[in-house]
Amino acid sequence: MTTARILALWLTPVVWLAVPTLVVEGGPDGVWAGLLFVVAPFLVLCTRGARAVPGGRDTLFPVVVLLFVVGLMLWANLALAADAASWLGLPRWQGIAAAAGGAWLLVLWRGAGRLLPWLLGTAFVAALLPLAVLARDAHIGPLGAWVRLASQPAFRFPAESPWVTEGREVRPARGPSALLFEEEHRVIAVTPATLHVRARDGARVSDTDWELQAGQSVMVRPGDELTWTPGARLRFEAGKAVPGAPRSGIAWADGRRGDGWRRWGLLVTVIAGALGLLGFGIPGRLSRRQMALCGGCLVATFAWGLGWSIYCALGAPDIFLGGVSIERLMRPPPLASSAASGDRVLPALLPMAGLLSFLASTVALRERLGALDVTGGGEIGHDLGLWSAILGAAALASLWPADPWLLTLWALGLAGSALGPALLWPPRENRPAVGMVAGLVGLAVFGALTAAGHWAGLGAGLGIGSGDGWPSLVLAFPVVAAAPAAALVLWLARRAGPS
Amino acid sequence: MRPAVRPARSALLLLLLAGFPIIAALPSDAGMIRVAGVSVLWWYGAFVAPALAWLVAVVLHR
Repeated sequence: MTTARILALWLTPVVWLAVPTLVVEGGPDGVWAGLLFVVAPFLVLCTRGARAVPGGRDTLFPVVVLLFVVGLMLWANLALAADAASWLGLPRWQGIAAAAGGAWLLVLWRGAGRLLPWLLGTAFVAALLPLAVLARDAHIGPLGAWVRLASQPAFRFPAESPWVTEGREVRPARGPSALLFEEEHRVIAVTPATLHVRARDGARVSDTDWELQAGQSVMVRPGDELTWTPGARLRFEAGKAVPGAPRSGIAWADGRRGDGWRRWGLLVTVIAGALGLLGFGIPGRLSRRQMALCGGCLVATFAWGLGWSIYCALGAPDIFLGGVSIERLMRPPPLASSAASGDRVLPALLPMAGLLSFLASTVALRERLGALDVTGGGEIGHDLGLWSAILGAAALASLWPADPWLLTLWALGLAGSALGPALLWPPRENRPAVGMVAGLVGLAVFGALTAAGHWAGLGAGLGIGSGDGWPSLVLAFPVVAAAPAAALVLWLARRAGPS
Repeated sequence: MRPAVRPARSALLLLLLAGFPIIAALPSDAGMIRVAGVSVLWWYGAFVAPALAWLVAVVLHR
């Protein structure tokens, strides 16, 4: 049960679905993110001793911080549910209602914690089946699939792509909404649309608007940028390079250059976040067997993410069109085709896995807070009014698109900045307030830098954050400055000695 | 025994993590050399490091 709790707490749907998304988007960057999410819990569960939960007023600060962290995580996952619904052609609110409604129903049931292993087990099987089908259809094992993907001369529209056959609305993933073409390409409007083409001829830039009727087309040249009116359905040419895709399989496998600073920023954020989220308050200590099971599940989830990303990108290079986002991998084009041919079960399995995993995470997050409520007997984890308000606020916020990955990184950063340092270097027992002051300092630095980074467009979300190396690190990953600031307060207090 | 094991375990896990960016930053793109068709960096990040991390966490568990 403890294993299931830790897994549900750590592997929210945004996390386990972001890994394959990041792998498709950035190759080794995604592997790095996945590796961090596997190893960070090991680190925390290794360093965590049988640290007692102090109880009373001393847990007030961690409880308040974790309430914000949980709120952000719920927002991230409900935003993903809304994005997934939108990607599947449903209104955003339906995705939110299904996820938030299920989570709210579980608040009513005090024994929901017993469901955790079943929810997670069913989610894993539901995620595994579509992967097995993609692998079977590819007629190639995972290693061979990687080799084939990493050897592609270019990512080109397959003839059976829905963007080639019937045409589809092009929804850009978060980030730039223009399509940059690498080669000459005829774009056909399926519905009346206004296309804006920005052409570059040396230093000269020209902008042209094309009012197209259904069936009319426009020819774009290499280097042209195309934008379009929202809702426009477009068709592309089979065999032409997908705009937004890496230049080749080799470029994808090699990853981006000069992004090393982002890797270190993500490392600090994930480890500090794991420390704050899993650091204390989970009753009991893992036995060796539980540790093996927990680690095995983390590694298996990572392996699933790698397999899913490789088979998705291999089977449907058009997944790169306009950038990659998490919801696209919930129903990649091959599964969308099987949905169109009448198979309703297979394409529904991964969204169902996401929903079950989300329900498990909400239960685990509530229990996580309840474990800190020593004096109240864990009642805070079942407070219907409180959780209705949190779920309602998160659901309301999710009506507007937000980057779930960025929100999750904010949640981890917040936990790491405010709680992480005090867990690593606990203040003296007679001065518990020092831990709170340090946490407040970490919180303030984190908040200020996050706001500044967001304002400067240097967040760490998918498809954004192209700052110039190390100077952008603290704005993209504020925890790298906030956690040391909090640790400095703890160190100064220790030097000052007992008062 | 226990106090020595925990720092060693954490240090090993951190070393395993640090291996990935170090391999990625090796000169002459050494991390991109393919072994059995897959690049060294991918072998390390997707297979070697997670497997070793699991072993370290389980074997050195007290």
